[in-house]
Amino acid sequence: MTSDLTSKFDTRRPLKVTALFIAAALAVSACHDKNTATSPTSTTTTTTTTVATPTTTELFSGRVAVGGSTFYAFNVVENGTVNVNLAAVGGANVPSTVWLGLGIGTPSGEDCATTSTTNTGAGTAIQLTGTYAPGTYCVRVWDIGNLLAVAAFNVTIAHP
Amino acid sequence: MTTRLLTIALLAALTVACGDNKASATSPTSTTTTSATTVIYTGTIDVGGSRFYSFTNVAAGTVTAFLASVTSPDTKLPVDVPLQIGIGTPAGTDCVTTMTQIVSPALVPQMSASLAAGVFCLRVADAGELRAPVSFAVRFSHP
Repeated sequence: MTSDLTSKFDTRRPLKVTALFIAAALAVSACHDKNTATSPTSTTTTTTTTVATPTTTELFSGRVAVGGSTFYAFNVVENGTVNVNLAAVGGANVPSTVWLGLGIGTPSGEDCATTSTTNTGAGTAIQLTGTYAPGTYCVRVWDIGNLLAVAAFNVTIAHP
Repeated sequence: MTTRLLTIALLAALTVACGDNKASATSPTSTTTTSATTVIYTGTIDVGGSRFYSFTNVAAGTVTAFLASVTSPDTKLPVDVPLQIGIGTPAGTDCVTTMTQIVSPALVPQMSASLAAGVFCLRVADAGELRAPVSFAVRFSHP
């Protein structure tokens, strides 16, 4: 009887231990599998930005003093092209060919902080253009040192 | 007995091993805090006139403003007259306000608005009670 029990005990224990090690190995492997499953994968994302054409035209009629400046704020509703044209300049003692400063920027404080500028006379062609994201922008007009009297002007702003 | 001890040891090891994974999975969250910018806007308003100041909110947040002082440009003495202050968006050659208030100078917030990120403006105007030009100071803060 005793020898039978010992015999059973001796033969089952290695089996239990082996089974335990196999179970442990599988569990550890499962844990490691989780790690490898959460490793970052490389993804290529292609972003296409649509550039809208102008849909709204605003007329900025104003006056600029000698050495002065003025600005006009407008809202771009979608990413797109903004075109600015100094259409006319006039006034007493102001030649229609006089050049003024023209710029596009963002309203800041009591002025328009320009990021794109040109000096130009009045004409029919687009004198300033650019692509702008949705937001609030401004067009600034200023005397570049040519005025001897207050100038009246017309500027058209075409934007999405 | 040996088998039981071995089982306990293996389970403990597994718990530690899998516990490490959990710890590394809960990465810390980052919190971005945008500090406020304070502006003291000063100027002079004519009878029936207005002025505005444009500012950019770098993030959504609260804009607060108060009229700090109204004085005579000549005597520099305080003038007891209310002004209209407002918050809005620059449009054309003005600031189109979405919120206005007629206030007298006080050193406590008189106007507060929750605004998105973007360009906005603060407008100061004659509320209809000016008899002569006045100098003003408005203090406001924005994200």
